[in-house]
Amino acid sequence: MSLASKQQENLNHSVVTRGLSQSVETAAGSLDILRQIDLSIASGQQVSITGRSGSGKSTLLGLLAGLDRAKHGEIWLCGEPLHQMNEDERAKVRLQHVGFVFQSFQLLSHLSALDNVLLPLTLGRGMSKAAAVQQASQMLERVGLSARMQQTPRVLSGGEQQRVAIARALVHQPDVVFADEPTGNLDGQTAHEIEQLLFQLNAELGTTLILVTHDVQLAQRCRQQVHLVNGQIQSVVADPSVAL
Amino acid sequence: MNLFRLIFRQTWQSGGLGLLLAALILAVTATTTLRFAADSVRDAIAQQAGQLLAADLVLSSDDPLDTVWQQRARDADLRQSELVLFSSMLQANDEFALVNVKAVNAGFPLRGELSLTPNTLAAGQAPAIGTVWLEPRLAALMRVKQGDAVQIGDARLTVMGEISRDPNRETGFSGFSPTVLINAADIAKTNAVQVGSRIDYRLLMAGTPDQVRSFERQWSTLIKSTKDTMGEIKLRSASDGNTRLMRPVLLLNDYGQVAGLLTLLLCGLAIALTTRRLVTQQLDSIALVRCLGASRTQLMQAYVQMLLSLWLVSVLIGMVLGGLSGYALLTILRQGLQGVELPFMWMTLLTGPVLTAAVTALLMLLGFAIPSLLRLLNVSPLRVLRTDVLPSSVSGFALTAMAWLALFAFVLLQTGKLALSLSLIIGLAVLLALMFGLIYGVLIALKRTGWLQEALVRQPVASSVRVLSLSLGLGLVGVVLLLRGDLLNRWQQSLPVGTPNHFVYGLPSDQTSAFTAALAEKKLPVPPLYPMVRGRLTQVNGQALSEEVAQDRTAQRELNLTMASDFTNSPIVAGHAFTGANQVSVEQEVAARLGMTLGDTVTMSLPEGDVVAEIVSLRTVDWDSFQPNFFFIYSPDTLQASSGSYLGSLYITPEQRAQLPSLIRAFPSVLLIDVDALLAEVRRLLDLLGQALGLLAGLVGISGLLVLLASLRIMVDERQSEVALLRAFGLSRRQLQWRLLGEMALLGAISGVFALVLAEGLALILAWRLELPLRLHWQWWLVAPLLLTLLAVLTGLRPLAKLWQQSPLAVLQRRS
Repeated sequence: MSLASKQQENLNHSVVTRGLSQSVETAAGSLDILRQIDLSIASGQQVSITGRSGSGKSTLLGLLAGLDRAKHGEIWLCGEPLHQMNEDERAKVRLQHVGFVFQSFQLLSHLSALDNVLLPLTLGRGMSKAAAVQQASQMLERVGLSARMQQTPRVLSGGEQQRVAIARALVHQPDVVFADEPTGNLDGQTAHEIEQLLFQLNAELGTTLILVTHDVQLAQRCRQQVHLVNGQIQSVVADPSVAL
Repeated sequence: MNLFRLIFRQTWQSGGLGLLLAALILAVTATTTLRFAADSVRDAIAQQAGQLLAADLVLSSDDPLDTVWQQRARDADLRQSELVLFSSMLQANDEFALVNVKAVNAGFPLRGELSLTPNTLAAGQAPAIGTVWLEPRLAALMRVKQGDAVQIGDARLTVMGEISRDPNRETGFSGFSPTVLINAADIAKTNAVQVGSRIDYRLLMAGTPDQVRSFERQWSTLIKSTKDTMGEIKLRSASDGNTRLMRPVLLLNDYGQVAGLLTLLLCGLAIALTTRRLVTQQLDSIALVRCLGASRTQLMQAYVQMLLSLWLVSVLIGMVLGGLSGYALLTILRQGLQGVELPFMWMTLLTGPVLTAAVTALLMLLGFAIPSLLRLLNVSPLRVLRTDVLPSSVSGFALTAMAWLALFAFVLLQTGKLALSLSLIIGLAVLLALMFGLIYGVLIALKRTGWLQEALVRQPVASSVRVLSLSLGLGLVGVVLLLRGDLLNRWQQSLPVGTPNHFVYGLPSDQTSAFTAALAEKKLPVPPLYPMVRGRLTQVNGQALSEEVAQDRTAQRELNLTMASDFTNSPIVAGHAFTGANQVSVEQEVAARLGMTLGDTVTMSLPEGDVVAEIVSLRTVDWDSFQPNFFFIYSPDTLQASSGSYLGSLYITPEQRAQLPSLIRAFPSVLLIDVDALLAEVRRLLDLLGQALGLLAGLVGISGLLVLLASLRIMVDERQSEVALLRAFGLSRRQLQWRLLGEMALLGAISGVFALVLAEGLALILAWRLELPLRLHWQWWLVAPLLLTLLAVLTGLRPLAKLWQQSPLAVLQRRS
């Protein structure tokens, strides 16, 4: 691939990786977690990353989202070269382009649902408090929690907490949402509802959704399915039958 | 929107900041109180000493003082009164006596209280024009009573009564002459003040400590610029006064400084422990905020804002609490020290103690909180996915170094002296290291015996910190209890046993035999009598004094010299006893200051001529013995004893006091100085200081409990999983309760023992410094551990309840 076409690819895709590798130092020496990962995820795409425990899927998610720095290779997120950036520069990219949904919800337990959703807007600059509160309230309404905005996570159910987390992930209109086992802590019915909500909002807002999951059914709802084995991509399935 | 507000709310509501704020408030309160106490005690001592001068400041001169001085005193808002002191003959009933005349005007004395017997005047009223007040011994000598007329010089004055109280003990030119008080307006009538007369003109001044210091500063500036034109005007300050008698008071003041330092140390420890817990608690929250895109700068700004808010709140609350405890302290001092002006002014508190406390609180945060908090800035956002990712921690050495640096800065701020601060900090570090080592050793030894519950010794370092904090905090409370309950009593009781309470002064040399015979006849103790000759040091080894030596105050004034063959009260530390005439024994500190050694010859200028003697011994002098003490003691037959008067001291029981009037009548020129009243003042001051220090010790005690609370919270966090597992495996809630409270009881008991070790140790040092017999207080050895056991259990009840009240399932789910 020529340099120009590479640059074009970097700009046209939400996520591009080339020769991405990650390893950790142990007492026994260097241990490879990821090896030679090449991925291109188009904007607005829904991608699942699956694999057994220890296959490297969470490490890959961390690298793609700019939470960690790779040992080797390139990562482009929304046209930004994460592999060349320090932590504060990556934080700026995350703030502008990324939303997160976690298995354990990761809400600040002593803040209200509204305050939790306000957090990404608080970190950004230029938005008045009133505008931020309005935007956060609207997002909470969209996830069906308009009546529970002032409640703290302690009194919310697991499903409600995950709804708050989804609202927080989308409130600042990111380009990419990363979800780590978003339904892993929920019962079947609630998991289904959250799944529906996540995909529905993703489609409505046109964001790229990259999720890590063990759940085969959830993975199959994605248009592109990446399967990892021992830190390497074993297969990438693009399923055109999945409606966007 | 502000990240600070969100982080502050999250941190506050998770309980991480309450204890930190409490520790900061306590640090500010303690520092404010301590600084305020030190300033108040210093001012109280100066004012007490001021009663001896009858003022806070005295300007004196042989010539009438220029009115410009009165104006300067007025400018400094000082109260003032003039006093003229001269010698004259008093005549009554055809008898004559040489008297010191103190001519005063309204307002005298500015410090202390003047009273007359019979008490026909309002308090504080000076002699009216045309009247005279006499010392009782003079009235007895002249056989005059109220209403009789006496003649002083050419003035005929009416006796108003006997002076029953004159705090101004200065005796003027003729130390052994009795004193009379007249109104300044009568000076001219006496015609005693003539050209060439020896007269001392004084301007007495008094005011608040700030006003006094302001005048002193003005004086220092003036004396530098007009040294040559100032003439012989001298300024004496009460703060130069009687520090010898105040030594125990200053000793207790030192204790206050140590108590303050320990409070700060314990508050610092509580702050460090609380911050450590706060950092552990906030790791996940901060990882999330980082993950969502917060930069290090944003986080740092949020935390700086949070710390500054805490600092501001702690300064405001601590200022009020410190002000209140300062006010309580002043009330205690005011109640006990009549005539002492110690105004409570918020402005003074704000500009002095509170300012110091505010800086101290900042130092506490810098030294004890910020090094740990820096760890939060290094939290990796990856922690949201992997909880095993921990930020790099600041090294223990760096944390300890920062903490000690902060403490050192605090001490330096308090004392303003580098060497003293260093020695205090090193002393404290050694004390802590010794106590920590001892506690750690005991815990390990107990573990080996198998007696101790495992949990207490599983983390011997953390347990030792808890025991050390409680011991330090409550050990100091123990010292105060011991001080107030025992040491002061013993010190007071130790003085009357054989301690002279009367000085015999001005006994003419030809009356010594008659005087001792009269004492024996009245069954009063017969003390050794020492001749007292005035002389001035002029040469050492035949050479004039060097410039440096001539500047020493011993060389600048006339000295009291004596002769004695032996001096049991002042043991020889170098050299030998007298072997012949023209030998002298010198007090070792004076000899060192004046650069004299054994074998040197010393020349003294006396009215009857120079006396040259060889130094054959050096001595130590116990200035607190209430015995006549001399810097220079000559061998017998060296001085002309008849040229001076004799001095001695004796103890007179309350029953024997009735014999004194007849003795005074028989020896009218002898002055008997009663030191009991002075001692009573010192005792009262000590008792008050005991109360004041109780307040400070209370602060140290509270700070010890704060450390315990902080460490218990960490313990609860750390042991939640373990306890939940034990519960899951079948340990009942009751069993767990007993187990945890048993652990607290044991911790309290061990702390009680170590608190006593510390209290007894410090009390022994104080007893040694006060030269009291060393004694342990066995009754406390049972009571203190029991009390601390109870206290530890009560303190632990609330934080530990979380462990037995929590659902084991919830904890295990949360942890998983």
